[in-house]
Amino acid sequence: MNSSPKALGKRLDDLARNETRRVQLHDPSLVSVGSPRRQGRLWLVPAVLAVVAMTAMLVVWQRADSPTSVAAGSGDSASITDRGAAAADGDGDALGEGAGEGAGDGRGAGDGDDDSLGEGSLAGGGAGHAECDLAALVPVLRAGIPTFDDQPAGSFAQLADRSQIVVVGDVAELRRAEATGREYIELVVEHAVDVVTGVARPDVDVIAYGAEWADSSPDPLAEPIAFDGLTVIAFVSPWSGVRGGWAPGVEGLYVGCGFDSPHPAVIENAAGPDDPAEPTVAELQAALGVSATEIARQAAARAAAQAAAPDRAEADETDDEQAVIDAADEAAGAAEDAARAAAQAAAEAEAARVAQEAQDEARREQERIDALGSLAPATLPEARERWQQTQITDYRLYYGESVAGGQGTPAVVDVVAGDIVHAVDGFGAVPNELDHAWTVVGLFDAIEAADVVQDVTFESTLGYPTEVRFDPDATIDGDEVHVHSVELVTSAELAAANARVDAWLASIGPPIDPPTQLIARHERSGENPGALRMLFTRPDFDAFSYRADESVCILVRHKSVDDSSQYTGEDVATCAGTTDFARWALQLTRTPPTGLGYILVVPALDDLEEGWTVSAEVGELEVTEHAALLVVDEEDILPPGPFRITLEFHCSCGDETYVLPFG
Amino acid sequence: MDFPDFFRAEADQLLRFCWMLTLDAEEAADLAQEVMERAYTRWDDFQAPGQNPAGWVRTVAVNLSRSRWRRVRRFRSLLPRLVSRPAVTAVASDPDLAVALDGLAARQREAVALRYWADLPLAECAHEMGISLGSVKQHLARAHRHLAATLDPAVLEELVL
Repeated sequence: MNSSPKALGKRLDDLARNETRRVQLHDPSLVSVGSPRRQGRLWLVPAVLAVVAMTAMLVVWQRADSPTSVAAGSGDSASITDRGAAAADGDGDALGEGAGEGAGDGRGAGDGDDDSLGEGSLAGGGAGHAECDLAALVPVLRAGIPTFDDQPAGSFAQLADRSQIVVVGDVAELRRAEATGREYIELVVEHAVDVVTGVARPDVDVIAYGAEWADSSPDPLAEPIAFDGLTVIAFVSPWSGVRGGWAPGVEGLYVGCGFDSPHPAVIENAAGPDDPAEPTVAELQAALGVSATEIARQAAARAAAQAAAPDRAEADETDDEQAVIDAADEAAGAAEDAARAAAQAAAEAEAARVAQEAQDEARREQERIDALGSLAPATLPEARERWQQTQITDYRLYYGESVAGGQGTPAVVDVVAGDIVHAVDGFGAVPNELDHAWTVVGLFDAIEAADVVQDVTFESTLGYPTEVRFDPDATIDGDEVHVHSVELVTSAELAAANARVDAWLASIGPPIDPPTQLIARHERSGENPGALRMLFTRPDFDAFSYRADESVCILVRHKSVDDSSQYTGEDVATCAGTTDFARWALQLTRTPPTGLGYILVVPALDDLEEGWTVSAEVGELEVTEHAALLVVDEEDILPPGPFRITLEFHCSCGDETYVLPFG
Repeated sequence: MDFPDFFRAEADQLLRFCWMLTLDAEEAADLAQEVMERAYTRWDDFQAPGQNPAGWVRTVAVNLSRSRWRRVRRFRSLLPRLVSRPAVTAVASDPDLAVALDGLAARQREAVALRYWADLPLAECAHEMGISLGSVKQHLARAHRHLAATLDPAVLEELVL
């Protein structure tokens, strides 16, 4: 062995290289940095813009009169009518096709008057103020957006899956902004609401996307334009590259003149065959699977908010402005509370029914499986027969796979009626082709058809392969497949576990207003913020629990970190699947002012239901029905040596005691 | 150099460096990602003459790792049965070296990574760690003693501290 410093460096490098080969970084200038694992999504990002903008077809706006009259209009007409618009290839389809067609030809601005973008006008009643006229407005919103080679979502529902949240809100203002040397259009949004959960999202106050004004004529958005009655539907995800931190997907931006009016797409349209092309908010909610009760509740809340708006306007003219605003707020709040209570009662009844059905189905399935015995199949035919006997056709499969000994990638595959309906790789991205993912039957078929099967093991009860190495074609090098760590959760198990966790969360307490700006940084927590429940609250931090999809998560927020301030990295989030609700312990980092350290323990559901105790040799324990918090002074305990935390869990499945040395 | 070029050139290096600080691939990725995001947001500042963004990201990584990652990892080492993540030594491709690194204090590991992996002169190690030259030597000397006790002493015999 070479024993020079260089050799140590090389050995360090080899070790680090091997240990990090399963993870990768994402260029913040090219991807949505708020969700770095969401690969394969094309966002309106500056670097893409910078590259593509030169080749994309640019929309041209030829002003008829004063260049600044739109933004700082004199009140007669902030007109954007009669402007010419030309795409680089002259066909006027600036955003949907033809990326690169105009590459290098230097066109795009000012040479294509034949394709007008707008027939309407932004008739304004005051300086920098415009009414809702989509015919005039949409071209403005499109101006300067490059063409994207986007992979269409296929439907609103699929686009929602790709996005962190889907919000609706009032657009108060439009403007072009510049950051890090690039230009963006910013929509200043008021009253943003997550259309799926109905939770207000005041943190989504600015939605921004790359749009560079490359025309020689003055930029109509150089100064902000205020609007009345303009509404937006946006499928957005966090992106720290812009002010406000939210960016829409290519297919993720729709505007309308009121929530009940059609919302045409600004850029690309994600509407699927069964979706309305220009949805109202209610139509979008229906397309996203929101219950009729929830749709009605949100509509009532919006109506209440709108009813309050005129009162606010009048309040501007009274001496008692604040009192009127307060009254309007109170009325709106009361209406919303009433609607929420009614909807919640209906939702709880429905949830109870669904939970019971899930439990019943899981029990029936378990009985069927128990009857199969637990002797692991020894041969492929035996295993296949065992699997067929289970009659399981709906399930989720977790596995890792590598080909030819190369870098592997984990995958999660959802199967319904034997067919793959959804699959993601280890980074949360949807593979381009679902047939690259495995089903149990697909694995059986592949093993059966392989030229060589090096080794294979089967799950003892259900019979599915848990690990297999095979060579599909012995005449070809480099096609050897290794599928490993295969775990299967049936849909019935999943539904039962979800219902169980939901019941557990409900026992903790009512949902609380989430720290939205913060949890948005934790990818999954943003998807179901309405379910956040508080485990512990202390002067220096809050600990929450919530369910997100098929995971249950713990999130710790230090209060020293303001929601609007920069993330300091001091907060903690961790998740586990609802089917294997884990025993957890988290160190909550020491907060400098107090010098205290915390250890948060969340027992497993089985333990919670059957009994658990916790004790510690040092520190102070705060124990609730759901969790325990050990408070220690790190500076004091480190010098004396180890101490123990003893956790005793009691379960019919077996008691366990954990003794945790510290120090 | 624009940011994408910098990212392509440095991302893997930074990721490996962060792994040496955290000894955990996922934490390293999160840490390195955060560092790159910070670098991206202030990329314009690096255009001035004399700027060293590669050094800057290492320094930021060191600083961030001292606050968050060290504490999280230390705690995880206390809870082997409650936290399912395997110990670094159980999954390492070079378990001897991983064990040795795992036994180093964070500052010692920083110094080793900068001196022997990044191949920086001692003065630059001190600069990037934000400590004095003497402190770097002290950390490296202690690291050497530990490594010598853990690894084959012959491996370290010729190390120049």
